This record gives sequence, C-alpha cells and structure tokens, in this order.
Amino acid sequence: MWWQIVRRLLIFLISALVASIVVFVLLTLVGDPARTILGTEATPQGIAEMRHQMGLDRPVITQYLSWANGMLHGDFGTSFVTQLPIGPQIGERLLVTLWLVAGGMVVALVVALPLGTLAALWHRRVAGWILSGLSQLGIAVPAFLAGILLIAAFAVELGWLPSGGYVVPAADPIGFLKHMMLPWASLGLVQGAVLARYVRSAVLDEMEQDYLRTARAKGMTVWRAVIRHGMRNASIPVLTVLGVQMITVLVGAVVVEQVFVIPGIGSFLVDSVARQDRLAVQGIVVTIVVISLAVSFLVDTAYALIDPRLRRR
Amino acid sequence: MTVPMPEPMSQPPMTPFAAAAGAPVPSRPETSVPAVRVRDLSISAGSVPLVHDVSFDVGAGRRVGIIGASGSGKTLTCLAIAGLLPVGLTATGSVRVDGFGPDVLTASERELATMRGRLTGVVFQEPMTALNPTMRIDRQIMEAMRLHGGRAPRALDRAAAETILREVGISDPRRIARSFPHELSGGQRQRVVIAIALANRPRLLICDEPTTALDVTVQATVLQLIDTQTSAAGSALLFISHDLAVVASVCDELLVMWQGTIVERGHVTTVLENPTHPHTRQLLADADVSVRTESARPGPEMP
Repeated sequence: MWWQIVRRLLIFLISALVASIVVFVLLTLVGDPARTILGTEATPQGIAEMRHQMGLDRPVITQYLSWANGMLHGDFGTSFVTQLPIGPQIGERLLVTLWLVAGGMVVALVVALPLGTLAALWHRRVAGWILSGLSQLGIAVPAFLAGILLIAAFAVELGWLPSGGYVVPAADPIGFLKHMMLPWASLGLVQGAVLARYVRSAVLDEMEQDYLRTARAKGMTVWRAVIRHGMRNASIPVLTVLGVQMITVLVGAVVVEQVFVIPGIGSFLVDSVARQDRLAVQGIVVTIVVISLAVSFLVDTAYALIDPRLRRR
Repeated sequence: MTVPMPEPMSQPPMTPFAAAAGAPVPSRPETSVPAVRVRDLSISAGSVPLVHDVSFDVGAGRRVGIIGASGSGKTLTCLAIAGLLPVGLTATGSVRVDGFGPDVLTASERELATMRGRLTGVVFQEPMTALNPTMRIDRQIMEAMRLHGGRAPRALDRAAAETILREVGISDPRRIARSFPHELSGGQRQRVVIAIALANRPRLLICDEPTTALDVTVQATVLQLIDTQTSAAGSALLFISHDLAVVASVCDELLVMWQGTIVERGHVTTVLENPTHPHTRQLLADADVSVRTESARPGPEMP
C-alpha cells in the first residue's frame, strides 16, 4: 500500500519534470522575446544587448535549470512584458479558477449521482428513459452555450444574478456566491450530464453482481442493496471519469471564464499568449500540467482506498 | 473452471455422508405447516415457458433435493421461492413460506425483504462472487443479523459474527472476521456464505449447487457443514444439484426436474432404487461414473 503510493508519487514527480522540460523547450523554439520587446526597429546590437540582459544568450540547459530552480522556490520570474512578478499573479488567478472548477464539480456530482443512480434503478421504466434522455441532451450542450443561455435567462431576463464578473469571497461572501452561481451551473450541469451516464452504467453493472443478490437474499430491497453494496464499487469507474473531467474543466475553464468575465488562470493564459509573454505562458502551462498530474495521482491513490483488492502488500 | 474431475468410482463418491442421510432426521409432526408450499408454479420469459406447473412441499425441518440438468428449471424454481426472481420473468401459481403472510409471487419487494434472510436463507453456487469484495467479512455477517434483529451494540454483533464463523468451521474466526473476501479460499468463502444464510436461523435454507464451484477436496466438508448446520438451526433444506450422489447424501426426498417440470418424486432411496423416468435413469447412470451433465439438454438457463 505505502510502496504503491511512493511509486505513484515518483511517477508524478518524473512526469512533472518531463512536462516542464517539454514546455520550456517548445516555448524556447518559438520567437525571440528580445525582438518582441524591442519591436521592428531594433538594431542587431540592441537585440544582442537585450538578450544578454535577459540571460537568453546562455545555453538552453542553463536557462532551463535556473528557471526550474526558481519555480521550485516559488519564484516564477518577472515578466519582461509587464515587469510584474509572475508567481503571485498565477496564484491569484489560479485560486479563482479552482473555486470555479471545485464548485462546478460539486454541482456535477450533485446532479450526476442521483440522476445516474435513478436512471439505472429505473432502467426498465419510462422514468429511466426520460432521465437518460435528459443527460443525453446535457451532453450535447457545450458549457459556453449553457452559460450564455443561463445569462440570458437569469441575468438579462429575470435579473436575479449578475451576468459576469468576480468578487473575492473574503471581501463579500454573498456577492461571491451570486457571481459564481451561473458559472458553476453552466459547468456543473454539462459535466453532470456526462458523469450521469457513467454513474448509470456503473450502477447497472453493480446490479448484475452476485453480491448484490446476496445482499437481497439477506433481506435488503433492491434499492437498499444498491446503495449499501453497489455504490462503493460503482465509485471506482465514476472516480476515473471524475478525475478526467476535473482536468478537462481546469484546462477548458478558459471558455467559461471568457463568457462570465472571470479573471481565472485560463483568461490569464489567453492574455499572456496575446502579449507574447513567454515566461508567464511557461509558468501557467506548467502549473496547469502539475495540477492535472496531481489529480491523476490522487485518483489512482483513491482506488486502493476504495477497493481492498488493489492494496498489495 | 479448475475443478478437477473426480476419479471414476464404482459407487457414489459421498459415501462418508450417506450414513448421515440415512440417520433419523429430526422431523416434526406431519401435521405442522410446511416450511414452503409451492403450488402450480409456472415461470416464463415473455412467451417462453421455463418452469411449468411445479408443486411440492418442503416440510418443517425436512430436506428436499431437486436434481436435473442445466436448464431444467431447478434454479429458477428456487429463486422464485426465495423471492429473487430476475426482473423480466413472470411467475404464476403460488409460493407460501411459513411465517410470511403474503404469497411470495405477488408480494412487493419491500414485503419480500422482510422475508428474505429471516425466513429463507440462500447459498449460491459461486462463493467467489457472492460476497462484497470491498466489505470485511464480519460486517457482511453482522449486516445479515442486524437487518432482522434490530440494533445491537456493535461489539456484541462482532462477537456474534465470530461465534458464527467458528460454528461454520473457520479455525481462526478473529482474523477471518477482519479479512476481505479476496483473502479467503473458495471453501472459506462458501462457509461464510453459509454462515450468512443461517445467521437468523431461517425456516428454509436454499442451496443452489453449493459445492459445484469448489475443489473436490473441499466439497465433502462443505456438504457436511450444510448437513450439520441445517440440523443445528432447525431449518428445512431445499438442495439443488445436478449431481445425484451429492443430493442423495444430504436429502430425504427427491424431485427430478426435466425441461421445466417435475418428472419424478419420492423418498431418496425409493427413487434411487427404482427410477421410473428415463431422465432419472440417465442421471443415475451419470452419477455412477461421476460425469457432470452440463450440456445434457438444450434449454434456457438463467444465471
């Protein structure tokens, strides 16, 4: 058990290392920041001087090591474009996106678990087909479209909620919730619809299991047996999908952030790319990659907690 | 399947327990209500008949064996009695379990849940999949007791679970109680399943091929366990097998099923000594050489 966790942790660290190298090398290949800063009228001497000043004339390996070393100490460097330190900005923007993603996934779970379970338990009834149809509909709607529709209904038409923007939760908790309601709903409903289908098939699989029949033979109703004995085992495939979804939502949050004008990491990335701010782009991409890897690591570790057969000594 | 074929023998292989079968069974007076009374039971999947007009009683404390090839309807008959018939199958007739008010065939799932585990216990064929892989053994046993016995202090339940494990011949009940199913052998798991089925001393224990999936070496001891534990719990026994020798070693009465109907019935020795139906003779001949009649008859076999 512990050895497995250590092994996964090693895999996580190695993956993070490889990812940081790939990101660094790829971004080093495109463009020259010195030329970007100085513009089209720069002299070759001026560019060379700038490159030296920025440390770009050093070997790539040295550049990588000093960058990576800084990141390990929480120093993401200072942007050549905005002259601002990148680390604190990433932290601030990331926190916003994490709020968005976490809330969205909670909504997704709250939607998917009952919906999927009921669809499975009622799979021979009309009610079950209706639930399946609803989740199919939800899958077909992209999150940004759901967002626009929600804004049209609840912000423009009814005026109950703001159409966009962001409030720091510590400053104004109620305002924060008001602003996040629609983004959470648009992320959560769509992801919940996808997740519900996996919950349904996982629960259906469980209903076929012999031990569910044993549970009924003990004196449980089908429902009780599914909830007591089926849910835990069904959670393994569901967790796999949930992990993938969290990563997808984290990376894809930019779309929802744009629709709702939320200053998250996705919009920071888009802005940085537009500004050709290489150092910021590097830092953001590596941060997103590391978080994605961490999610996979946690999901893998959770398997062993759920299923004792996966705990080898 | 890795069950090795037993050596061909000139006599049924379960001789050690033939004596047990011949021993006087603690039978209650004939006037008492039977543990289960089945009348005109027919089961069909859509328009396909699977079981047709089956009627029989299992007297209180009595032991009835059902034998027949795969697809003869014996498993479905038992599932119908246990109130566990798969969705999509329709059953007609009546099944009355002693102590349970409504007819099992028409009772609601909620009503049936109060019967299952309390009045009927079931031991299934596959011990490898019958237990929940993510739950410790003691919790699975405790659950069977709690479902019908109200709430008891956890520690008491745990002690009771260990006692039950000891009763079914688990030599290290404390350790096994804290184990997960995958840490147990097939024989140990089947003992646990038997312990769960008998946890509330049901009126009727239904065993559906309980030894078929086990190693031959373990089969005999598990069979003996079913024999002694059923007696100890005072339960009636409905025992299904395709192996005549196995049934003969534990049961008093015998029902022979073939293509969804009962073709022969009577006291075990009578049927064995004087088989009238050709199918019974075939089973008898097969049992003598210990050949499994898995694919003897075409017909729908429900899992």
